[in-house]
Amino acid sequence: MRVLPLLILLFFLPPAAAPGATWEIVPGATRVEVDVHWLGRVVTLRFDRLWGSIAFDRQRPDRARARITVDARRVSTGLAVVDAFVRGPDYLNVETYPTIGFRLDRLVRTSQSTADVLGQLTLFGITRPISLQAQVFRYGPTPGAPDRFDAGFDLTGAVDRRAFGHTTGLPQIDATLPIRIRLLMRSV
Amino acid sequence: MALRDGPGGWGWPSRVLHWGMAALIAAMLGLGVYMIRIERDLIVQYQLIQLHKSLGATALLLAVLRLGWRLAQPGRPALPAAMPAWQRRAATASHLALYALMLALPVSGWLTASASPLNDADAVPFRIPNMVFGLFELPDPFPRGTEALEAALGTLHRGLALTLALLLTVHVAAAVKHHLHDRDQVLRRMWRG
Repeated sequence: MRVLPLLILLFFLPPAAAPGATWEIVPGATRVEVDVHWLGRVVTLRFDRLWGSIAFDRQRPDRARARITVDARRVSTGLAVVDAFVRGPDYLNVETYPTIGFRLDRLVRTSQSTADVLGQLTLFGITRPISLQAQVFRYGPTPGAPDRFDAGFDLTGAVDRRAFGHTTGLPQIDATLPIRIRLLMRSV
Repeated sequence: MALRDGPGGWGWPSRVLHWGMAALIAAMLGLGVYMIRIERDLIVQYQLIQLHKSLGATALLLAVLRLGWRLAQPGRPALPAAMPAWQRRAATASHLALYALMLALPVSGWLTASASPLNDADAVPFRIPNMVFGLFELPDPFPRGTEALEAALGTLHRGLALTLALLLTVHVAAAVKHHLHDRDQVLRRMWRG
């Protein structure tokens, strides 16, 4: 009799959660933060504009695919004078490299609510492998829109900027950049 | 409510300046320690330092006003007759030192910020002007700053701040002693005139 509730649940699952569903990134609820450490202090770079395509099957998360692009030109620190430097040719050089790209290769589930995220990061025109750890922060029907489904992940990891040819301010400014991503995606 | 100080009590401008500056100085000492020793976020730290500069310029202006007002007064309340001579000398010396520090602390802070190479016209990665509440920039006595000069003046600024903190502790303790132990009017008249 234990299967009955499960069958009932499956029957009522929203259609948007069907295998192979495509998803959109929810703007406003999605952001990327990168910590730049300098002599024991930290400046957080915030990227609030990103877009891309995500194919995610809730039954087969290991088959998930995604391409996400971050708008580097919109990076902000909360202080205009610092933003100008960060966007400028000596740091992110957004005129030449206006976007930062991420391609998801593999999602490896490590527990009920965690996964390893393996992919490729493109920064300054150089593509290198990156691995992030994902933790689910929301997983269920969209509040107020039960025919859609929300999947939210907090992703954390770190990038060694030297792998992308970035050496500005070394060693006073750390080579390792801790990254935090809050990604909320919604079934289309 | 009396305007001017006299043998009968402190006028309201003196009392407003005393308590206003007391609050400002306490806040500035706390802010100074917090922004340098505790705050790790560089952007928040930057904003706190800019606030510290603005409040420091305000403190300097108030200190000049206060000193000018004090010198312009015809008299001031007498110390309690029962006070021993050494306490009278200590009171005079500590009040002189407090006035000197009220002037020296903001000036040394201003000189420290001005001596920073980050305040120079061609600063890298960007210039940090000494703005007062974003309204105007303080004059720059060191158009060509050096890190060594900034460090020396910074040490002086911190030393003066520590001296002021210690002196204020004695000042507050003495006021409490007058109020609770001696039961005289010293603290009360700074409040009520």
